[in-house]
Amino acid sequence: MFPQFQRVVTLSVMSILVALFTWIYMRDRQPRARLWMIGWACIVVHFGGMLLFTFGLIPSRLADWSAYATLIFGASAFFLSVSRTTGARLGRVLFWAALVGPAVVYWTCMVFEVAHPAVYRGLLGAVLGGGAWLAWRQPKRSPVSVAAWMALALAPGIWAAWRASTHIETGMDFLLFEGFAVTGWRYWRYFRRLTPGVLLTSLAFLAWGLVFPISEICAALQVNIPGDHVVWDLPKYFVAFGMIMTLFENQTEILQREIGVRKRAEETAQAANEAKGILMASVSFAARRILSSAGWETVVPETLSKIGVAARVSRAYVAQIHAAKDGMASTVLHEWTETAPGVECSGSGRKRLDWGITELASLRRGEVVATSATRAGGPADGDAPKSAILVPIEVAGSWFGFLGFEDDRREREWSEAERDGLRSAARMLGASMTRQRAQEYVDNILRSMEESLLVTDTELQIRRVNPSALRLLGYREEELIGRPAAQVILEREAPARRSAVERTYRTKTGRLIPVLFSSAEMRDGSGMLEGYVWLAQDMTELKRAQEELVHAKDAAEEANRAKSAFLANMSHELRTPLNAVIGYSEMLEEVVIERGQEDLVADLGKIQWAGKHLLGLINDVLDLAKIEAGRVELSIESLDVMPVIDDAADTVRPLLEKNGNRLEVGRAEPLGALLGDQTRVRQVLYNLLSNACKFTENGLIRLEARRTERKGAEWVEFQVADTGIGMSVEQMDRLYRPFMQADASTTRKYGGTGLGLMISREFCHMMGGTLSAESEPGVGSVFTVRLPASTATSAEVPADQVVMGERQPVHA
Amino acid sequence: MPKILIIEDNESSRDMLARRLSRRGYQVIAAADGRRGIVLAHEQSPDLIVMDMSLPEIDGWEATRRLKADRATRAIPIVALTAHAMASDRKKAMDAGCDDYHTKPVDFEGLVRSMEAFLEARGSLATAGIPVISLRPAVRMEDPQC
Repeated sequence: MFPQFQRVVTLSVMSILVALFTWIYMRDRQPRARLWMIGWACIVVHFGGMLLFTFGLIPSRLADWSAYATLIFGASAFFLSVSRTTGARLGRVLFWAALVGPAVVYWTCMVFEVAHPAVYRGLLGAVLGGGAWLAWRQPKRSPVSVAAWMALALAPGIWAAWRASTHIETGMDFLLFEGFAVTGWRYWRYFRRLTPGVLLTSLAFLAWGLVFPISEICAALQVNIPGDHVVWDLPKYFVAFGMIMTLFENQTEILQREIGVRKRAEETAQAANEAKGILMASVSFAARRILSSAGWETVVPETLSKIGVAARVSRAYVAQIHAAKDGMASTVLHEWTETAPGVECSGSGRKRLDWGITELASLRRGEVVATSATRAGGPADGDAPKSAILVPIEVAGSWFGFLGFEDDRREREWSEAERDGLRSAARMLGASMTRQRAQEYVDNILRSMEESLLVTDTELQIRRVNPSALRLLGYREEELIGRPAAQVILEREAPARRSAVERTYRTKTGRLIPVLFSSAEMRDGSGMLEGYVWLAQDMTELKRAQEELVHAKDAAEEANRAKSAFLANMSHELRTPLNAVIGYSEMLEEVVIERGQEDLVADLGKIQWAGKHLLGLINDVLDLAKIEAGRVELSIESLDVMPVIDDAADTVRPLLEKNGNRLEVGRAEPLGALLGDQTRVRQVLYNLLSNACKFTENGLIRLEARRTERKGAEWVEFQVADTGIGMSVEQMDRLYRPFMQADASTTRKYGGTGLGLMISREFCHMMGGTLSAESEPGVGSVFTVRLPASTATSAEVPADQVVMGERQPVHA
Repeated sequence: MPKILIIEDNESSRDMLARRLSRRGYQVIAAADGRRGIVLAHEQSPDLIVMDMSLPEIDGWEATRRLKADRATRAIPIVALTAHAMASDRKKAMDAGCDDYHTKPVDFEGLVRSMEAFLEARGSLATAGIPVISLRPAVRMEDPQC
C-alpha cells in the first residue's frame, strides 16, 4: 500500500505544481513558465500512468511506454527551458530529430521487445551524436571546454551503448538521467546566480540525474539503499520547489533590474540635464555680458572660455569668413584653448583655419557642422581634434563666420542640448555684432554731421550729443549728458515741432551763438514720446554774410541815390543858365525885330538853336542814365492805336514844313489797341518821325500802322519810311551807338544828339517790342516799331500796371 | 492889367521873365525868396504867381503850401516854373498845391498860354463880383536888387 500512497501524494503535489505554473504562465506569459508547466504536466501523467497500472487499470505495456515517454518529454521541456542552443531553429530540429526521436523509438522498441542489440546501439549512437553536436554548437565556448564537456558526456554514453546489448532497459535510463543532470548544469549556467532557487533546482536536477547511476552502482555493489522510493522521488520535489523559487527570484530580479535600468537612465538624463544646464547657464551669462557691453569684441574672450568650459571642449573660437584665392577661407578672430586659457589670439597672430569647402558651404547654408576624428584638416597646428562642431554666425542678414568648438580628447556625439546651446550662443554673438554695426552706423552718421545734434528726453534733459554740438558749445560730452537743455539754449523751447527757426545757443564760455534750429519729437515704435531731437546750425557766418549783404545793398542803394541826386542836380544846374540863355535870346529877337535890326535875328536864332540842342542833350542823357540805372518806370496800359498815330502826326507837322516834306499816314484797320507806356510810345514815334524829317528834303515821309501776327502773338507795327539820304551798311552798324550818327559830318549838318534811336530802341524793348531799320543810301530808310497788341480795350486794363525796366546794356 | 507875382531867386531868370511878361503887358512884381513872396502875395494880392521851387528862406513847395492854406491867398493860381524837371518833380509841385507846372528853360509861349487860361478863369470870377484883383499902375520891383 505504501508505494501507492506515496504515488498519490506525489501526484497531488505535482498537480498542484502544474496548476501553479499554469497560473504563473497565465499571469506573466513567460515562455519558461509554459515549458515548465508542460514538463510538470508530463510528470503528472507519468505518475498518473504508474498509479493506474498499480491499480491494474491499464495494461503493463502502455503503462511502461507512457512512463518513459512522459519522462522523455518532461526532460525535454525542462532542457529546452534553459538551453541556449535550441533557441535557434536548427538547434530545435536537431534536438527533436537526434535526441527525442531516437529516444522514443528506443523505448518503443524496448516495450515491444525488439531483440536486436544493434538497433539499440544505433539509436543510442544517434542520441549521443545529436548531444555532441549540440554541445559543439554551444555558443561562446572555447574548443577546450567543449572537448572536456564532450568527453564527460560521451564517456558514460559510450559505456551505456556498450552495455546496451546486455542491459537494454538501462541504456535509455542512463541517457535519460544524464539528460536531467545536464539540464541541472544548464540550469545553473542559464541563471548564473547564487540564489537558493537556482542552487536548489540545479542541484536537485543533478541529484535526479545521479539517482539512476548511483542506484545502478549500488545494485552492482549489492549495497541496499534505505527508503528507495523516497530517494527516487525526492529530487523531483526539490526541482519543483527550486523552480518556483527561481520564478519568484526572477520576478524580484526583473523588478530590480528594471529599477536599476530606470535609475541608470535617470542618472544619465540627469547628467545630460546638468551638462545642458551648465551650458545654458554659461550661454545666458555670455548673453548678458554681450548685451550689456558696448562692443561684442571686449566680452568675446570671456564668453568663449565660459562656453568652452561648460561644453567640455579643448578649444573654442570665433572665425570670420573671407574671400580667398580658392573661394572661401576662415580666419580665427578670437580663440580660447583649454591648455592656455589666458592667451588671446588677435591681430597679426590670427591664424587661418583650413576647414574644407564642404564644411564652409554647409555653414553658409546656416547648418551646424559636426565632425569626428576621421575628418582631415582642422587647425593648421598639426594635431587634429577628435571631434568638432561649427555653428554659423549671421550678422545683419548675411553670413559672417562661425563659432567653432573642438575636442581633442574624445570622439563625441554632440547632443541636441549642446547643439542648441551653441546655436543660441552663435545667434547671440551675431545679434550683438549686428547691433554693434547698426550702432556704429548711427554713430558715423552723427559724427559726420555738420549740424549739431542734441537729443533730450521728455523732461528736456540732454541724452545724446554729437561731436559737432560739442565743438559748437565747447563742452565735453560728460558735461552735457543728463544736464537740462536750458543750459545750452537761451530761449525756453516748448516741446513742439519747429523747423528752421532762429534760436540762440549759449556755449560753455557764455558766448551766444545764433543758430538755425529745428526740433522734432522722437517716438518709439509704439508711438510713445521718447524725447526730442534738436538740430542746429551755426548761423554766425551766415549772419555776418547777411549783414554784409545788407550793408552792400545799402551802399549800392546809397550810391544809386547819390547818382540820382547828382543827375537831378546836374539837370537843375544846367537848366537854370539855359533858361536865361534861351529866354534872353528870344526876348532879344523880339526887341531887334521891333527896332528893325533884323540882321541880328539870324545870330540870335543860332543862340536859341544851340540852347535847345543843349536842352535836348540834357534830356536824352538823363533818359539814358535812367535806362542804364534801371530806373525807368513804365506805365503799361492798353492804348488805342488811332489816337497815337494822330498825335504823332500832329506833333511832327512843324518839322515837316521846315524841309518841305510831306507826310502820309496809312492805317490798316482795324488797329485796335497796343500795350505800352503812352509817353514812351509817343517819344519813340516822334523820334523816328523827326529823324525822317531831319534827313529828308522835299521828300515823302510815310507813317503806317498795322496789326500783324508773329510767333503766335499779335503785334501792332508802326513803320516810318522816308525818301531821305539813307544809310550805308557801315552806317547802319553804328546806328544804336551813343553819340554816333551815320557819320560825324551829319551831326554838324543835321543836328541831333545821336542818342534818340538808342533810347527809342531801349524803350521798345522795355515795352516788350522791337525796333528795326532798313536803309539804302540815297534812297531812304524804313524804321519799324513792333509793340505787343492788346486784346482788351483800354478800359479793361488797369492803367497803373507799372513795369520796372530791367537794367540793359545801352550798346547794341 | 493882370498883376503877376514872380518869386524867383535867380537874378537873370527873374529879370528875363519880368521883362518879357512886362513886354506882353502884364503888371509884374517880383520877390527873390519865399518869405518875401508870401508877404507880397498878401500885400499885393496878385492875379497869378509864377513860383520857382528852389528858393532861399522858404522854398517854393512850402511857400505854395502856405499860400494855398491861407484863405486870403488860396484863390491865387500858382504856376510852378522850375529847373527840377524830373518826372517826379511835376507831381511834387502839383502835390504842394501848384496849379500848373513848367520847366526851365521856359517855353515862354506855353507859359503865357497857361497863364492866360488861369487869368481868364479868374476874370470870369471877377465879373461875377468876387473881389480878387486889385489894379496897380506900374511894374514894381519889390526886390531891392532890381
